[in-house]
Amino acid sequence: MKRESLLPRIGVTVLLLAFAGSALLIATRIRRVAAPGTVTLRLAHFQLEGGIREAFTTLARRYMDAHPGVVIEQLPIPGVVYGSWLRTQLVGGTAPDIVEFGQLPTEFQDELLARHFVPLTGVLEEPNPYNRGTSLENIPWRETFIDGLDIDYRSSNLKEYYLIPTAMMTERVYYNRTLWRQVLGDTPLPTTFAQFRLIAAQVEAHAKETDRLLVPLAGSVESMQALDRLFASQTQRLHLALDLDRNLIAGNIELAVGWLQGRWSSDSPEFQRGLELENELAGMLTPGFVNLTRGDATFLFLQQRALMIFAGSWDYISLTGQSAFPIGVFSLPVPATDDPVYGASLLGAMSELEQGGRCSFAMNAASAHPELALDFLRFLGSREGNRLFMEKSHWLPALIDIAPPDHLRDFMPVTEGYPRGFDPHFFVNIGTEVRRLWETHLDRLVTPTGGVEAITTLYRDRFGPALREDLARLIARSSVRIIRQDSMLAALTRLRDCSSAAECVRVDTKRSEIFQHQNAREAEAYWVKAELSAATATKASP
Amino acid sequence: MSSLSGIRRLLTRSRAVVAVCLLAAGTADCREAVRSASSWKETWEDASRLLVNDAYRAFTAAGRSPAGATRESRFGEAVMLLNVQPKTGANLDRAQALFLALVKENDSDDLGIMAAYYLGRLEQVHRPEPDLPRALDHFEVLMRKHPGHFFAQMAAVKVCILRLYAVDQLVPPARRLEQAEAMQVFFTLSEAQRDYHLVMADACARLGGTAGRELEHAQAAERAGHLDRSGRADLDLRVAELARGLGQRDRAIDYYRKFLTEYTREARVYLVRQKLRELEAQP
Repeated sequence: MKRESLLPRIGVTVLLLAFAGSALLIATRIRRVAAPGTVTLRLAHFQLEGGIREAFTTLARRYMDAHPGVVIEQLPIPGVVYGSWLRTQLVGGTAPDIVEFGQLPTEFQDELLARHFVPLTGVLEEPNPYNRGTSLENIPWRETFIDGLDIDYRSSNLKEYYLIPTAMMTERVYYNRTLWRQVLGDTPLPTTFAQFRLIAAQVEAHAKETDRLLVPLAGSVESMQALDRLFASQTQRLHLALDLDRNLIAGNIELAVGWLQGRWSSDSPEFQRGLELENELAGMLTPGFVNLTRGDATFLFLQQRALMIFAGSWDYISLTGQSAFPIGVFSLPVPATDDPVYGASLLGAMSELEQGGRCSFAMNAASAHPELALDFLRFLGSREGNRLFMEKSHWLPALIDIAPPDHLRDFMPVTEGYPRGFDPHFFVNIGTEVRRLWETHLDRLVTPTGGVEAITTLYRDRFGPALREDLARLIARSSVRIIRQDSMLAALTRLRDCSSAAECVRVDTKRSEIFQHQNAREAEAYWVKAELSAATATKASP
Repeated sequence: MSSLSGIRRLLTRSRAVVAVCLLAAGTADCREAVRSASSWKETWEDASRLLVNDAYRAFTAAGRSPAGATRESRFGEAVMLLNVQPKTGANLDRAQALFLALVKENDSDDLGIMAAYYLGRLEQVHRPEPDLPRALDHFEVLMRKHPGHFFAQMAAVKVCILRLYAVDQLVPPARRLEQAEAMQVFFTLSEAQRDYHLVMADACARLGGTAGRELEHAQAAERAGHLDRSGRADLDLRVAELARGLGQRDRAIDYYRKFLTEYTREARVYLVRQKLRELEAQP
């Protein structure tokens, strides 16, 4: 047969096979959904790491065994398309009963939660029936979570809980045990940055002596998390000094106004030392790491061309499953308080409790089986459900009183530690301009030709305008959310004529909390605007 | 199980809407017609969950029904117009007209008083160009006429905020703080007292008030109650920190302990324990 006529035939055949495969998949799915006497609950998530789908399958199987006639169907969706996929499904009324809430723009989250999801505030204050017979039996469900759902789980504008976390996440330095022994002998794991520095120097010396391609730490663009962590150790004390309302947390607004008022700058010793530490750590990473992906770094580590890699607890299965060598982990050490250079700015080891639970699920208000969906969510967030999930996923438990297996103990969040300081781009982010300034010009700090002075010079000119722009936007966005609460407050006032005492308490409490939030945020917004005007006037005056 | 009953209600209502819409061959107003026939409770429930456009459609449908708009539905329409998307000048003008009419009809019932409050809010935050002096006028009229009403009390909190930070910028901060202090006697309802004292505690910190006065306001806010969980934690630590700075050792210890009793799994716990240990070690 001639080549010209063969190629189209192959193409058509592939197309037909793909069509047949798709049709078969859809047909079997429809048959499964439509099987008489069964109720299907669908659960969507974007966790495609190793072990997670298996964990959800195990949970589903356990639940289905106990609930004949119920089918739990899992929909793993790639993270890059998850946000738009979820929004399309929600708007189209075809979203799964239970969905992982994430990969969504923050400005739409309140609207999405309010319109499409069921508030769980009431049920979270009751004990979870699936905890019967356990140590958590009589504890309100909310308090059974390690973070008590104090962080992020309560929409500050809606004043309701919507999300149930399934895991805690931490970040650690993973190391190649075999290589460690070869290069470092019986050198103990480092507990201070000074010891970590010595280890990195030994690795570099070994690589030079043996002419081997080996770096201390595999780096990628995601290594910025490690850089930020070290920087934040140097701003612990400054952070508390900028805490104007004395609640031992200086939020982004307090930090930004502190800068406008000249209470700190990029020339402050704490900021400078933070940059120096970052610069030092960057020297231990793969050269050019800012242009490498997480996959590149993982590959280097698995190829034994890096002794260590900084990665999340969520990477445990992926890394241990692919490596041909035993792996150990330790916390990225920060400088000791008696460190002659870096000790003065820090308070000590940093707590990891402020991160809160992750991989959180919400219940679709349009679910055809709301009682069942809530029941499965309760199972997912129960002691048994979370233990099963932990065992299969190798992720840290989100609930208290679940003992992690030995290999997960080193990942457990540090509870005996001080609040961390702030990053060069503040907590998480204050806005796109400050973040962009940092990310675009990080190379000035970490490349051999750059350094602390190079980035400080840039920051002297460019940080102020970026911060002012971000702060103005932050206040504008916050104001939009605050004024939306006016309609909610009128509605809650009209709902005070309620039928039951419990309902009256719910309505009164929500109205009261929204007023408290609105008044506090409104005062803050006016204050920031006044400070921004004052800073601009000062800058403009000759 | 309020959440479950809410879900059931949503489902029942949506099924009813679908059914009537099918019967009405999908006319544009069928959904609104169904909703306006039901009680306002469900519409206010929607609004309380930020579903403003849905609530707006239900309230306006009442105006097109044979029975015509009620005082309640006109208030509902006006208050939804403040936030209905897209937000337009015409919507805000219509809201203003509805609020003015409600006040004119009766300025002493709950709806009239709330309408007066929202006239102030409209000028304060909803217009693209806020008119703060007019907002203050609306709030101050309400405060004079109905000083004990919840919305007049909340209007006074707004007045306090505006005078501290927005309208009297040429007045020295110390004088602004003094003027705001003089408002304290106005607040008689506990939720307004809470917000007033929280605003004042913050203002002391931001505008150069004394730590002693900041502590008094923080404690007054605590006495007023109604604080949410994170607000209580923040206030406990604020009182403890201020008391420690002022040399009030016993009070600081009490509040550090109070925080540690209620919040056990929090990033600040370790730091607070260290501070408490240091204080307890002092003679």
